Amino acid sequence: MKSTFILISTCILLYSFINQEVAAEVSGFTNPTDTIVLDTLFVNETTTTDHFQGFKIKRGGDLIFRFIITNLLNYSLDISASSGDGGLIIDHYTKRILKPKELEEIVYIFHTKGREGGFSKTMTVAYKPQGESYKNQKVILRGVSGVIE
Amino acid sequence: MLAVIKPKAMQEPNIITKVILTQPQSFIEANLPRLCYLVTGVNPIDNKSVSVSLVDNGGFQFTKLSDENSFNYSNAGIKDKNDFLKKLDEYFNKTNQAITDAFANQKIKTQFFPRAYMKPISASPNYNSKGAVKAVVSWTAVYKIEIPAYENPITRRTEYANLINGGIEITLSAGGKILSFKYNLLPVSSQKSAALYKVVADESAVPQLVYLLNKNTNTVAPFYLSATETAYIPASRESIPPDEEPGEAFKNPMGFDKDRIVVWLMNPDVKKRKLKIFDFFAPRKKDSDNNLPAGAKLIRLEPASETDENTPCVYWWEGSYHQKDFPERSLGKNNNIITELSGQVLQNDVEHLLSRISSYEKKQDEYDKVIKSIRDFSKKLLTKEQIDNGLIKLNSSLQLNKNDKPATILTWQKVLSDVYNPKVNETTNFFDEVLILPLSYDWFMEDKNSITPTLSTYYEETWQGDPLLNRFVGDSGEVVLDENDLIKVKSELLNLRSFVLKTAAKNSPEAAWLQNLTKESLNRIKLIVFVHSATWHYRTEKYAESAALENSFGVFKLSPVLNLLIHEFTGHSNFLFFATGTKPDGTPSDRHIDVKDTEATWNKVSKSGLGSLKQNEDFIDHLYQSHRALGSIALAVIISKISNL
Repeated sequence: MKSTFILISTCILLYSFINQEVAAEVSGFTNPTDTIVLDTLFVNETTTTDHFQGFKIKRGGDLIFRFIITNLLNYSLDISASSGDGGLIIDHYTKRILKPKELEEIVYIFHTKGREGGFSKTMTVAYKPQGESYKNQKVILRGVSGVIE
Repeated sequence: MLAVIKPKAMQEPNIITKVILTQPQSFIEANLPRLCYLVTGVNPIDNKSVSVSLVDNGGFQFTKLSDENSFNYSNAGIKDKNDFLKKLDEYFNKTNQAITDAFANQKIKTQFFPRAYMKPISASPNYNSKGAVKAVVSWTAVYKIEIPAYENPITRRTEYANLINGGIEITLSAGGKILSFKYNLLPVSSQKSAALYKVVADESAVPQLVYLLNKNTNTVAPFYLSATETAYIPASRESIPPDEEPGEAFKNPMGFDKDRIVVWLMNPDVKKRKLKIFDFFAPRKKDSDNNLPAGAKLIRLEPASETDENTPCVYWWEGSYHQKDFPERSLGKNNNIITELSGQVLQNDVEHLLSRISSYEKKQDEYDKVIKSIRDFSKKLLTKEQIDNGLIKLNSSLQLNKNDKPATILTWQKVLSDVYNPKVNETTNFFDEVLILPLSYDWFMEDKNSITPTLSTYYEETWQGDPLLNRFVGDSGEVVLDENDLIKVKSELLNLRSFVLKTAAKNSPEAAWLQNLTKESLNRIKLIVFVHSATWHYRTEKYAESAALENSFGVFKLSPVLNLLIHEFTGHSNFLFFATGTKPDGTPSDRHIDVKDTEATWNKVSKSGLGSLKQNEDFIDHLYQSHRALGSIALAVIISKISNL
């Protein structure tokens, strides 16, 4: 139900931002939660870095970061998501190939066990036109930071 | 099973072996600056251009951090390998004499370089990794310690045995300056004879004799290396094993155990458990051709029941996968099994990996060279002596020295960049932009319990309190590549460079390393790697969180920390960028392999056989607890050290 709502919201946002570059801003998370939905990542020939700050997390739990990626280009993209470790890993996404205007949900999981204090982790989405060499690959970084309390 | 009979119980005359007595490690410790000066010509006191530290097993190491003040023991340059070895021979003579003279008034009888036992196992040039012209920049030699252990009663020939946890590595610049020196040994003070214990064995091959350096007993003494056990068996009264991990009791559990998925065959004849006295005069029985040799890597699947003595295993042998039952008791937990067939086992593991990485071919020129080096090496069948020498060389060159992490990291980064250093652009290669931090949580916390805890307090206030800097605690490692994060970390490293000189850690290798950082040198860095606190202590761990570390090939395996670094480099960079993955449910992943991934794959194969994986190499990665692309870099590093023995 929640996913459906996110998808519908994203589609509306997609039409609003169809000709814009990456739009991602912190939406002001203050309360500890198990799942945090980040702003949609619009891919439009960009390598912009996003920062999402100010998260407060309970120690020892697992935290999920999820966001929608949307291909705003007029050709299919080969995407791959990765992480910079430190407890943050890919949980799931289903499609490597994203057709024009297509959406995909990417979910990361952050294991906080054994960690405390401030944290800053990086999620990465690399993309290239489908069928082209990796030399044409571009990388978008999404940083999430906050405190494990 | 291997047991020994002590001399009193023996009927035949004793076979005499040799035990070497050494100076204690405290001798090295007490005289470290002086010994360093005598050996390298460099005074290490307050010298930030060098790093000098003790080695855990015994001995010390010296590493030059910058180009200045290196000891030039010879005015002439090095012409070739023979010239290099000749110069080293002269150097050993002179240094032995200098050390004898220096300690003459203390009446300490010591032979620093035991030349009678030292045997070069490699001497090769090192080339510059940049520029169009391939030029020799330095030469490295590794010496093993080979000891005449006993006279064989049949052949009347002297049988030699290697010291396997020690050796000497020395690197000279092309101009003859000492760049690094690893003395994983203790100076010899004397030698004595001892009776060689007779063996009771159910093994078909002669148990191998090896020597071990024990810094607690100041001895280099002989041990039997059994193909059926992972422990060292004392071979004389003086043979006291160095500290080891205790062995585990036999069991055949049903469920998933991450530490018992990849296992190694200890002895194919273990079913025939008939004890016999090992007799030097008895004819030797060779392994049957039908048997898999000891040391072969197996994937242990779920047994039919807890009472079943056999366990189904899958394995790769001679070009394809097989499934067969093996006695549970024959499945060992480590790959340190050396037999006459170890070369064959290594070759099989190399061929297996080669078959798994074929899909990565022609994706990147630099990686194609890695594949070529593995393919070339796969055609070689190493002898047992080459395997023995390779182990010594690998341990001498690439072991983690926890007392000198900067020197260790420097060595690792050099060897990694030599085997795989992809271009970022026309003028820059990957490792030009990489900084691996040799700093650790333990180092920051060293003065925690002192009266004036300055460094630990600084760490807690500065590093631990800042989200961008708090990256030293955990069970794996992490990379920083975001521009803002990089600026913050670099700035704090420069602050720490100044601050550390006001603390008790000012003479540590880490402090010396920090002094060599400059704003300019940091400017080019685009990826900083942190190693977490627990990771530095890993020994046999299969995972560092979701990084699989089981990259072994025959008896060879790199430090878990080095395997983790190879994993970390792939965090969204030019390093193995094509190496993505697939989760057990078929969805995309990156190069991570979680324990859960291995468990899901293992359950599937235990239930339905290897065919259920449909030859998907990502699933094979999960099962073998090793991402094949990362494993290939680990193998290329190993090959670079053992291919020219």
